[in-house]
This record gives sequence, structure tokens and C-alpha cells, in this order.
Amino acid sequence: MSCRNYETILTEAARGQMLDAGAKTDALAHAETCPRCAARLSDEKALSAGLSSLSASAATAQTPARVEAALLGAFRQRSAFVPVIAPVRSSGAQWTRWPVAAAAAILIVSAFAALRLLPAGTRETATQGSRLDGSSLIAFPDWWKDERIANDPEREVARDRDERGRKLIPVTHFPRGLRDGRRGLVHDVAVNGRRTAGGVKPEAAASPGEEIATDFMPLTYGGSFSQLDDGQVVRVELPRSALQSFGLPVNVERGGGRVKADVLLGHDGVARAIRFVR
Amino acid sequence: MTLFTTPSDDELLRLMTAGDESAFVALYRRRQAGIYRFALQMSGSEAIAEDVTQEVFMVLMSEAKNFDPAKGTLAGYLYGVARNQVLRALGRDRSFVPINEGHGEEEGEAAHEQLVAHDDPLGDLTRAEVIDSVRQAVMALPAHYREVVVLCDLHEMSYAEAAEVLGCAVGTVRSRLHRARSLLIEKLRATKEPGTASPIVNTARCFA
Repeated sequence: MSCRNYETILTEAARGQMLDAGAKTDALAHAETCPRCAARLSDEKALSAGLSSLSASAATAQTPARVEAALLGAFRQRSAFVPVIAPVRSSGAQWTRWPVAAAAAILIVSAFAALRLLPAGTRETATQGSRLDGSSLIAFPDWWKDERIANDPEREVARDRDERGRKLIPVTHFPRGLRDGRRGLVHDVAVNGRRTAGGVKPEAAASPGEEIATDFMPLTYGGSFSQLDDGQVVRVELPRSALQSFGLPVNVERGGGRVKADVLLGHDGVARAIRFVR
Repeated sequence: MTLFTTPSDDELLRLMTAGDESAFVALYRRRQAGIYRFALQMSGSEAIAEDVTQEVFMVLMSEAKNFDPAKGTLAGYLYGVARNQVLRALGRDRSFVPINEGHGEEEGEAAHEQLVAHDDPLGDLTRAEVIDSVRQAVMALPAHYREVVVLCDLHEMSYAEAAEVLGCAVGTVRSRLHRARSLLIEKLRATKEPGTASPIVNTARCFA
């Protein structure tokens, strides 16, 4: 074996790597006859020993516990927005409504908790596009402002109009178009609860027993649910106190009750927006 | 009789992606030490190592769905992310200086005394008191040589595993390691024997 060939296997030999038996024998024979290569092997072995000692000295090095705690917190925060159900496609698939609704309710409650932590400025941004009013950042029909007026027969007439006198068309069913996989419908539905161009035709005029809904309000930070291509709307029931999380007034006398809400789920199963229904 | 099997990294990742907190914790505890040590040995800074480890698992959380087991192991993926983070951190913070630049004359003398060996200049490298010298010699290597030493010699990875982490050919790892070890020997010898800093080993060969 030449010095040149010896050099090619020197590192592996010094590191105790597997070598071809023939090559190893030749290398050892060469080292015995070549002092320079023998010295190289000696240096390499000493270096390997030094590196092993260095490795052993750091063997117990661990990440501080605070890193795990921080990561766990981040994981839990993320999990609040990770779908806990299998993604449900809206087009043509048979789906079980109640398990999805239950999962959505869990997501919403988590979202409420997160929204409470948002500074006011952020919350304003999240509701950008909605009408603002003196008592709330969210646009909602008059009847949300003070539930007591719901029992006032004189106000019944005005229930289906907004502050500017525009008619609010009640929504009685889930927007069927969403379940049919229509694109762009979500944005249409989000406009004051009315179904407009591109959406499903509005139901006939409001009649007793029909529902009135607020605007859809975004549940995720920064994302625009109006960009959603596809999704589902799921009806859930929430504690009445949930209204407060969105700046909606709560009638303390009925604080223990429950309210209906429609949750807009993306095709990935993540809740994107919510509207309250009465 | 019940047989208990340890879930694989991929299985833990799948559970983690589905929101299983215990799977995330198990995966973190299994892999954090290696990642932390890699970052520590690459940067020489506990603060950077801590930040890098945290960032690696944050990336895992946010991009777990993008990990493709067909392209490599999860461990390799994590080391690869750590490597990128370390290089980025080192690029930001240039306060880490090579061994020869970091010592004053006095310290240099002390290091020299430590490394003096009368009959075998490198024979006492295994002694605890020279571990720091080896560490500093490793830190003084250029990053692309340092990383192969850290992965192959300190983390005992195979050439193939290191190549997966570094995203290069196995032959590249092999040649870089050969060159890096030669540089280490030079540096340690130069530290022990001032005046012999000129290359005593022909390290110009490339085996790629």
C-alpha cells in the first residue's frame, strides 16, 4: 500500500470504522514500514480519543426545563386551532352533524378565551369591515343591543332593520350553497346576514319563528374568512356569556341560558367565523 | 404476557399532528438533548443552543405536515433545521472568535503549558484538562468543517446520516471530515508547540 492509498483510509482507521479486512491488513503493514504514516495514525487516534472525551463531557447537557414549558404552552395554544375532527368535505359527503357541532363548540370556546386576551386594537382589526357602534365593535341587529326590547311589541317591527333602516333578511337555514361546495359564497353570506349575488336566494320574507342572525365574525387572527373557498356552517349552542366575548351585550337576567350560533368551518375543519342566531 | 413497544418518531409525529400533547412531549424528550448538544457544540453558546432547540420544535409544530418520511428520518430533519438555525444565529452574532484570536498572551501560555507532552505531543488529549482545548479547536474550525466533526465524531453519526442532515453527498462528508480532522491536529499541535503552526500534514486532498 502506498502512502497515498493509506491516507484515504486513515480517518476511518483512526475512528474505528468498519474497513475491508484486506485493506486493514495492508494499512497496518504499511504503518509498520512508514514512520510518517505511523505518526499520522497516532495523531488521528489521539484526536479521536480527545473528541470522545469532549463528547462524553457534554453527554448530560440538556435543554433547560423552561424550554419544554414554553413549547408545551405553544403546543396547547396551537391545538386550540387545530382541527380535532377529521376534515369534512362539504361536497356531497354524508356527515354527522352533531359530533362536528360539538367539536366546533370546543373550538369556539377556546377562541373566546384567546379573543379575551387580544388588545382592543387587535380586536378592532379582527372585526374590520363590520359596522362600529358606540357600545360594541361588532355589527349586530338592534335586538342584540338590549335583549329586553325583544319583549317590547313596539320594537318588533324594527327588528328586521339595521341602524340605517336597511332590511335584515332573516336566515332560516344553513347556507346550502356552502354545503354544495360553491365558491365565494361565504363572503356573500357574511354581509349583514343577507345572501346576495352568487349565493343562495334569500328565504322568503321573515315570518314568525324565522331566525335573525348577526354578521359572521372572524375567529382566527389575521386570516380573512371571506377568502374561504369552501366550508360548512354548523349550528351550535353556546353559553349566553359567550356573547360578551364578542362585545355583544348580555342580559344578566338570562345570563345562564344558551344561545344559538352558526360556526363557519373551513374545509380543514378549523372554525373561521361565527354568527349568533336568534 | 404483554409486549410494550416504543412508538417510532414517525408514529409520535402522526399523533402529535393530530393534537396529542403526550406524543409531542415524548418526541421532544427523545430528541431535545441531541439537538441541544449539536447547537451547543456548533455555537459554543448555551443561549443560542437553547433558542435553536426551541425554534426547531416550533418549526416542527408548524410544519409537521410538510415532513415527508420518504425523504429521510425525522431526526435528520430536526438536525437539519437546527443546523440552519445555528448558521443563521452565528451569522447574526459574530462575537464567537477562533481559539487563536480569543486568547491573550498569558492565556496562550497557560494553554501551551496544559498541552505540553514530552514524548507524545497528542497522546494526552484524553485528559480532562485538555478537553477544553479540543473544544476550542473545534470551535475555531470553519462552520462547514465544524459541522461534520460535530455530527460524525461527537454525535457518532454515519457518513450517510450526516449527509442527510447537511443535504450533501456522502463523499463530501467524508472529504470534509478528513480535512477537518487534519486541521484539528494542526491547531492542537500549533497550540502545544508554538512555531510549528505551518502545516505539518498534507491535508489538501479531496476524497469527494
